[in-house]
Amino acid sequence: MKGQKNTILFLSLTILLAVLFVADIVLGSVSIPLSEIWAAFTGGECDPSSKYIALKFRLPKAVTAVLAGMSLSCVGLQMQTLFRNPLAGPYVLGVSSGASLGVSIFLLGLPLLGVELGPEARNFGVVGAAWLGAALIMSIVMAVSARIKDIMVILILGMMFGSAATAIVEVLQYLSPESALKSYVVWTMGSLSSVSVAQLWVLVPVTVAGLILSLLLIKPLNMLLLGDNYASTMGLNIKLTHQLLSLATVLLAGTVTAYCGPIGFIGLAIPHVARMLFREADHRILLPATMLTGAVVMLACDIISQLPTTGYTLPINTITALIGIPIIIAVIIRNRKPII
Amino acid sequence: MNQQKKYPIRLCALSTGYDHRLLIDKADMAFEAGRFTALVGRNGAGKSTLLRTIAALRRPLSGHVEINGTDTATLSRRDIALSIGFVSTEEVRIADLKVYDVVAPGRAPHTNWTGLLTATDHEQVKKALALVGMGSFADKCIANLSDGERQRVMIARALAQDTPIILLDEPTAFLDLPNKYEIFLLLKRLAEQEDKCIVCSTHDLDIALKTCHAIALIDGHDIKCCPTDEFIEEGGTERLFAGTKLTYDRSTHTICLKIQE
Repeated sequence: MKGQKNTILFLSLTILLAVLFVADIVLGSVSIPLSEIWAAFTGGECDPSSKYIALKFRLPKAVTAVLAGMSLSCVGLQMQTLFRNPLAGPYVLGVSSGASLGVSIFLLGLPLLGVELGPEARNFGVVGAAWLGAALIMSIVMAVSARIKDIMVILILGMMFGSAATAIVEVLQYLSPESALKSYVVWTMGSLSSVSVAQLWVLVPVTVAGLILSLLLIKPLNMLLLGDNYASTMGLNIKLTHQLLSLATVLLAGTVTAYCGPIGFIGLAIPHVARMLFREADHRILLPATMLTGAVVMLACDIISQLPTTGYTLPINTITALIGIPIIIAVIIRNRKPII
Repeated sequence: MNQQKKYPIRLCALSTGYDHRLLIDKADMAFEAGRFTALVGRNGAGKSTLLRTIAALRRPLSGHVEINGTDTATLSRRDIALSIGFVSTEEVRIADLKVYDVVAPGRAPHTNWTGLLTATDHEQVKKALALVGMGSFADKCIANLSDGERQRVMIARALAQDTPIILLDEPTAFLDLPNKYEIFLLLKRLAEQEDKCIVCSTHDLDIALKTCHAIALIDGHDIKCCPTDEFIEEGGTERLFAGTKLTYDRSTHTICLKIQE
């Protein structure tokens, strides 16, 4: 019975994912007939500009949406288990802000110091800077949480990091020359669509590696669910597990933030959507379910943000916030007693 | 038939506590197999700290703990997990988490990195649930159980771990009186039936005196363990209640208020 329900859910989500993936490629500000898209992918006769849009623009965007959705929601679930708190997530705990700070120091700080960057260096440097920033915040959060067990302190700290990062970025913006500022502003408006084919060569392998690492950590995550003492006395090397989880977080949240800009609420809200759907706490089911749900929701958000047929595009962050916030409010109101 | 007694846990000149506060000073003692021992002492005497030190969740200040003759400092977490099951005071109250999925991770030290359970593992989980009388609760959610039921599940998790030693940190703290007795009698039965060495810290002294094989008393940096009769005989209860308004009435085997003289 129970297994059957899960199979049906997984199957439906996979079909939904496929449908939305195709829809994300077909729908957009420029309307391209389905036949043209089909021709572009199969190598048939079609308008070269349609082909360019389909292969060089919409396909990378759809792939990015899937990977970003999977990555952020996967990190969210891991952090909720790790900190044993339903309100943990990469955005809330300041990891996304850390990545943004890293990028802003790279894009604004280096030109201030008189370092000139070529487009190649900029492309890879942005990721590296995001990883460093995310790793810095993650290690501070982990260090504090090892000493202070009160999760409220950690959450407040995360928010403070977020504000501090924003403040530092503002100072940098104020000091920066126009050219550097422009490249930074372009990055902050960064959406799924700003990811180029060249960047996909970094985004795909790194996030896939991070996702595989997360799947390998299913057993430790199930043990951590019972708390550190139980996990430890059941034979878990807590320190190593924390390090591996931090690594996964940095790879996933850092990379996605570097290429798509800070995207909020997906990491926090999607694990709860998966819990509501599957009614499971076992990571063997919940982790793949969360990843799949994340990909589906991110594709949906991307389609909505394109405002099909209008020619306007909204920032992806706006859509994820509008969808995520009601879910989070529902979670807070529904669970006044502590749960994850 | 001179069966030699087994002592799975041995404290060797063990000192434990915190940097600024010594709780137990150079203790040498052992806990016996097949026995249910209650660890008693006043608030802050170091009961939890001692249990956590034995489970290697914290380092001793000096000396060491031997598990079946091996210093725990030389063992890996997994090796320790194969010898010691631990029931902590951490509350496990997670939405949608099934009772079965709380007990199943107890098999963690026996499974490979995937954590997938073999047929034997599933059998052990079911056996553990049956032993604590929770066999029919496997598919229920842990968050919906009563405190007494949840404590049984946590004990089942330690049983599923299939260790010669089980340590419990105040497992009866929030339970009502019938449940306290139920848990103590359950632990006594498990120690006898499964030949386990079970040590449980508690403040329920009167129940411990009626159900435990032995009492270990932490009193002023010192720890001493003896069979329950001997403990009463030698005035252990009086030592525990020294300087308080309580005393132990030997004729009725109850703890009562001192009669004002």
